[in-house]
Amino acid sequence: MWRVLRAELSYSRPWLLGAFGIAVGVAILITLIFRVVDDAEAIRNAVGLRAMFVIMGPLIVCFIVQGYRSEERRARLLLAGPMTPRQMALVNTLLPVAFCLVGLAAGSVSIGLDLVLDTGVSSSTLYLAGYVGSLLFMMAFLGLLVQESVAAYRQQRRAGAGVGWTIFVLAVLVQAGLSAVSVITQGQLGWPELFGGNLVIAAAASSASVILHSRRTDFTR
Amino acid sequence: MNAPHQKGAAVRLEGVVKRYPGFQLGPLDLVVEPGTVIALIGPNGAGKTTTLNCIAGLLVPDEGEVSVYGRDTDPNRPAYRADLGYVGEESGFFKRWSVRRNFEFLAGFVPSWSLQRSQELAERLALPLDQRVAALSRGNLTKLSLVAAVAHGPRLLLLDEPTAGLDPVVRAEVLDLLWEITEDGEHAVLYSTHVLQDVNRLADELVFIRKGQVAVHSGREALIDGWRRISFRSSEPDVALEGVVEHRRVGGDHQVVSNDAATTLGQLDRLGIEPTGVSRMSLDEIAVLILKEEHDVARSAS
Repeated sequence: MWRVLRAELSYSRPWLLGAFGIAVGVAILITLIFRVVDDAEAIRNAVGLRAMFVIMGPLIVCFIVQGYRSEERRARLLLAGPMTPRQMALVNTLLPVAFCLVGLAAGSVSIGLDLVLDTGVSSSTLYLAGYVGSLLFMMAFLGLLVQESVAAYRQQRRAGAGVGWTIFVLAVLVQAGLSAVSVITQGQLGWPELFGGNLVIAAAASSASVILHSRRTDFTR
Repeated sequence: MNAPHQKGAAVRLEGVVKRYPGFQLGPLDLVVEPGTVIALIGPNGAGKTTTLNCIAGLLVPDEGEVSVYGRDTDPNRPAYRADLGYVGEESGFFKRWSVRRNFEFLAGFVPSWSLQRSQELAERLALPLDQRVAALSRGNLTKLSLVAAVAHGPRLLLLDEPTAGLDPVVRAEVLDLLWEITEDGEHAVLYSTHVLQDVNRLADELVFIRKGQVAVHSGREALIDGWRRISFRSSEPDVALEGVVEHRRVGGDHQVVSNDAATTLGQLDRLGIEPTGVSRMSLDEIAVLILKEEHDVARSAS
């Protein structure tokens, strides 16, 4: 399983490097634009934006990789070897985690540089950057859940599909509710609740995806 | 990786059913003995690929049992895959990696997968090791799938239309390799095909599938020996004969196609009718008659 995960990460290295290249390019552009504006508040915001792009890059690559793996019918290659459906499902789940960790590590480096250079970064800006990253992280798992729910429906596993879609709808409602409360109360809802909400949804979606994948009866798609 | 202690049939399907909206495979019973090459023949959508996918464990049947060398093809117990090599339309390779890189991955991933053997086979088949999979021609993709399927030394090969869309030179190379693999009499091969010339060269047994059911399962020689086109003259408008799958009459001239020529000729003899012509039929002609929907030629012989 770890060998497959390593291979998938190695396979996606060109995209990852491309994403970082774009993120760094955007970060430089943002820095230049905000230097022209020459406003202390704007420069503080720029720090958060730079970190946000660096965190988002690998997670966007994760979406691309999920698409490629499906299009290349990777399951067929993996089922030539000693993998079980549950192990394959764990690889599907661990890939977004790995990409998220790469993004967080790169984002930390970006923020660390800003702290060292004392650019006056505010904590709320950094929380916002992290929040956008956690949103994408959650969406990667919701994508997996949708994929498995569609597969369950096509394979006549109606109960599994029903559970999958129910979790998806609940996840969307919880996310929408948290966002709405945050906006209505104008920040009364703290970052921990918002982060926690995204992580709980991601955990629920990934667990459901693993269970649904393990019960697949068709590995040809 | 090979498990010589696992005795019994190379493949055993018992009451296998797989349902889709508008299509059902089976109930299907089939036994493939070690050393046997069986061709699955049928029109598009007949269930050939579904059958192979059930054996490979890529599809879990709704009913019935599938085993490979005595081990159930349960995806959660993948030990059976050690004995299995599968060449399908899609093999799931890393398309942006080179052939060599894919081989290196498989060598580390699939137990007993031999990098040396894969490179020898690739060289023999003129498969470009440093080309990206995405850039390979159809013929080279088939060669890649074949090499990947045999490099761990499986005793059972499942081939889903391995020569479809190949030019004659590549087709001959692929057939040569398959011929060599099966020559030792230990490997079992089950392959689906539309190309009946391949059947003549490789197959010991033929399984004709129509609408998800086995229409005919027969030894190749027995099938060809059994079918005859028989002509005779009789003033009777309708002569009831056993084994006849097609009967045409123009005036007193009758022409029948029999899938049991010995029985049909014996009956004619008992009726005192002298055949005016008896001719052998090609496998193509037989296949068309078996697979035509209006004919009921269900028969199993070996």
